[in-house]
Formats: sequence, C-alpha cells, structure tokens
Amino acid sequence: MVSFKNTLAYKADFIIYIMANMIFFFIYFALWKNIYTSSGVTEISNYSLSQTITYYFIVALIFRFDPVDSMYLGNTIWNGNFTNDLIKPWNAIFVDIVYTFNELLLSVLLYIPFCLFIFVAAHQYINISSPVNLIYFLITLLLSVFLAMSFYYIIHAFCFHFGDQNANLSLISYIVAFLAGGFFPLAFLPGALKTVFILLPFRFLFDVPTNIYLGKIAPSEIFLSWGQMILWTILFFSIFYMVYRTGIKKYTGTGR
Amino acid sequence: MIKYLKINWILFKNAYIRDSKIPGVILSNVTFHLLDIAVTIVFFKIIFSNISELAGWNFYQVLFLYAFAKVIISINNGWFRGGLKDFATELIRRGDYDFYLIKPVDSMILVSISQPRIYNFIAALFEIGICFYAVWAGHIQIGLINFLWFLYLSFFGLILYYFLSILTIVPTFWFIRLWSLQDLMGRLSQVMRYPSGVFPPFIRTILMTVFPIVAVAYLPVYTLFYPPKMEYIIYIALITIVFGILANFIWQIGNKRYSSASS
Repeated sequence: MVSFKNTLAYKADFIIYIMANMIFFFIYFALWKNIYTSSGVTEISNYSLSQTITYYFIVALIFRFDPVDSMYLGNTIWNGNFTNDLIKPWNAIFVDIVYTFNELLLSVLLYIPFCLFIFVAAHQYINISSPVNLIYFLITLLLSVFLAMSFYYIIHAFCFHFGDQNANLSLISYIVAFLAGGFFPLAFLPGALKTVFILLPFRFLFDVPTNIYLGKIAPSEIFLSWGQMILWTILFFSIFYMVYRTGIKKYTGTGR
Repeated sequence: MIKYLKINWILFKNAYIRDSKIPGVILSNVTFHLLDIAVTIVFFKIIFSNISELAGWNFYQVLFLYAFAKVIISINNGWFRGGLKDFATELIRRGDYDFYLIKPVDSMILVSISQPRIYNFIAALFEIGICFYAVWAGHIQIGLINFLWFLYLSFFGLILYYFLSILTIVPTFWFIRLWSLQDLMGRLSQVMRYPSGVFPPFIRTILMTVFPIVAVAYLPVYTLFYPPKMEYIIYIALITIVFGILANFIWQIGNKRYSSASS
C-alpha cells in the first residue's frame, strides 16, 4: 500500500513515464518494418516481420517487470534508512522484496491501457500466443523476475562494502538488458557472439520468455529452462546472502 | 552575454572540482556512454548484414548520423540536463526555485546551466571520434561548402535541442514534479539516430515540425553528405527561433504561476 501511494503521489509523472516507454516499441516497429519491406526479405534468422514486431511488443511488456528501478535496498543502506527495517520484528529483505513486487504490480497495471493501445495500433503485426504457450510464458516471466532480483540484490548488497551503487546499477542493468535480448532477438547475433550470449543466464530475462510466447521453444526445452533459471536464482541469491551477511557486520547506519 | 559566460565558467569550474573528487562516477558514466555506442554499433551491424541501405543511407552514413546525434545529446546533457533535471524534480516542489528567480539574470538560463556534468563532454569527444572514423572508413567525400553549412546547421540543431528540452520540463510549473517528460526527451532522442525516411510520412512530418527532434541531427548531416538545400538551411534557423520564442514565452507564464513552497 505504501509503495502504491508513493508511486501515485505524482500521477502525471508516472503516467507520462509509461507513455514514454511506448516510444521504444514504435521506433523499432518503424525500423524493422522499413528493413523487411525495403530489402524484400521475408525472414531474418527465422524471424518473420510479425514475429520480430511481436518480439518487441513482448519485450516492451517484460521491461515493466524489470525490477531494477523498483528495488531500494541499496538506497536505504546508503542513506541509513535500512536501520529502520533492521530494528523491526520482520525480515528486512522480505520487506524489500514485497515492496518491489508492489511497485512492479502497479507498473504493470498502469501499463495495460498503453499495452492495449500498442496492440490496437500494430495488431496486424502482433501474433497471439496459444493458451499453452501463454501459460508457459507467464510462469517463465515470474521466474525471470526472481532471477533478476536475486542478481541485482548482489549489486545492492555491495553498498555495504563500497558505498552508493546507483551508477553501477544503471551501467549493469544496461549491459544485462543487452545480454538478455532486450534490444533485439539474440538469434540475430552472428555465431560466436550468440554462443557467448546463450551461455550467460541473462537470456532468461527477455529472450527466452519472448521466444516461449512466440512458440519457438519446445516444451521439453521450456522445462529445462525453468530448471536452469531456478538454479541460477539459487546461486545468485546465495552470493547475495554471503555479501549481505558480511555487509551487515560492517553496517553502522549513519547514512549520508 | 559576457555575464552569462562568466557565470558559466564559474559553474564549470565548480563542476570540475565536484566531479574530480569522485572519479568513479566519471568512469562509470563515460563507460556507460561507450557501452551504448558499442551496443548500437553491434545493432547496426546486425541491420546492415541484411540490407545495404537504410532509407537510402549506407552503414557509415548511418553511423555518422548516430554519432553526431550523440554529440548533440552529450553536449546538451553535459551543459543543461543536470539543471533541468533538478528543476523538474526538486526546485518547484521544494520552493528552491526562489534562489534563481531573485538573481539578476534570466532564470531559465540560470536553471539550465546550474549543474554542468563534465563527464558528458568527455563522452562527446569519443562520439566525435566515431564521426571521424565513419567519414574515413566510409570514404565519404565532403566538400568545404557542405562542411560550412553543416557547422551552421549544427549550431542551430544544438540550440533547437535545448529549446525542445525546455519545453519538456516547463510543465513542471503546473504539475510540480514531472521528470518523466525529460525521460520522454531521452526516448524521443532515439529517433535522431536513424534517417528520417525510416519513419512513415505522417510521423516524419510530426517529428520535423510539431516536435522537430529529427531535424536536430538529420538536417545538418544530410547537408554534409548531399548538396545543401536552401529550404533546410532556412527552415532550421526558423524553427529554432520559433521554438526559442515558444519556450521562453511558456517559461514566463510558468514564472507568473509559480508560488514558492514557503519556509
């Protein structure tokens, strides 16, 4: 409830923020439509024009689930407000996770009208997923949120040791979005580079969920992906917990 | 004019002292810019592995357009973005805008230049390097007349981008906190990196007239590569003046509406 009120304190600011994020889709829509139609190709790396446009439509939606802007652990550590959560009779990390999910939920709810607008504007080029793939997509999306949070929590926990991490978070989230297929399908990459990207866990954040929606991944591979995502999440969370425990010992709560 | 240059110089010196105390911030910001350039070049390589021209422009021309657009954005970000961001998020909300209003200088300019960011100018140097690389690697022939007109249009493009930035944050006078419009400016700036022919005619018209963000980079670079068009040369000067008058006019209306947050 607190995060809802906080986010909606300046409604125009928030609404315009979501509208601004629509521009990402329309720019790539115009660009790829021009590329496909002017060159006369029907497929690029097994992606038709409608699959490419659908890819960007889904990625624009998945960006609403990206928790990087909704996590405040690092800020509260840096300004000392973390002390407030530490002395309370509940787990400080759990509170931060709940707060983050609240913000994500609000972000998604407020994005729905704009999502519908994009769909109406570009419906000729957007594929509707089958019900089964849609369910697989939603489960993968939920797992990807946990994966992203467990990774970013490591960076947040570095705040105990190295101070403010906001600049590093911006840089790292940009790199992650690139490695995850947030700017173009990873299938478009040339051979060697694609291999490197596929070995990293970040493809599970954008590329894999989107390809599940597009029906490009077989069910057996989907279940395998889920297993890998859970393992990576456990690994990242374990690293975060180690950094957090060592950081708590150094924490003085004086803030800046 | 001299007064503003002196104020600017003092603020730049302060910014240098401030930024040099935290070299990590400079490093991460410059790294971010370089990374953005690298990612975009990879993206352009992917595009041009499937086509030879994008809206009639080859890879090196598009690379130059992108790098030049980034130069405009970096100079504006280094010079004005800090102050405009502060205005959009804090000055009106907290009433700190009073400090700028009572000074014997134009408040719009003072707010704009109040928080320069030196590291953006460092990034601009790399982007200028990319421009030179694109010309050299693409064997692009540039005449002296084209280059002189390019400088002329670039000057107006830079100022036009500033006025467009002002227009995106001036509604803060009415909405109190409206940083998302500046974020909108950042998003719209992405259209500057592609030739205008990529966009459908209706959208292209909007982006060249109603909110002429495409004109900022496209018109100067077009003039550099192709025979100069007098209509472009006159047009960019005209819209810069029009948007300058508009930005200043709306800012003055906002000033009348402003009532301090009080203490």
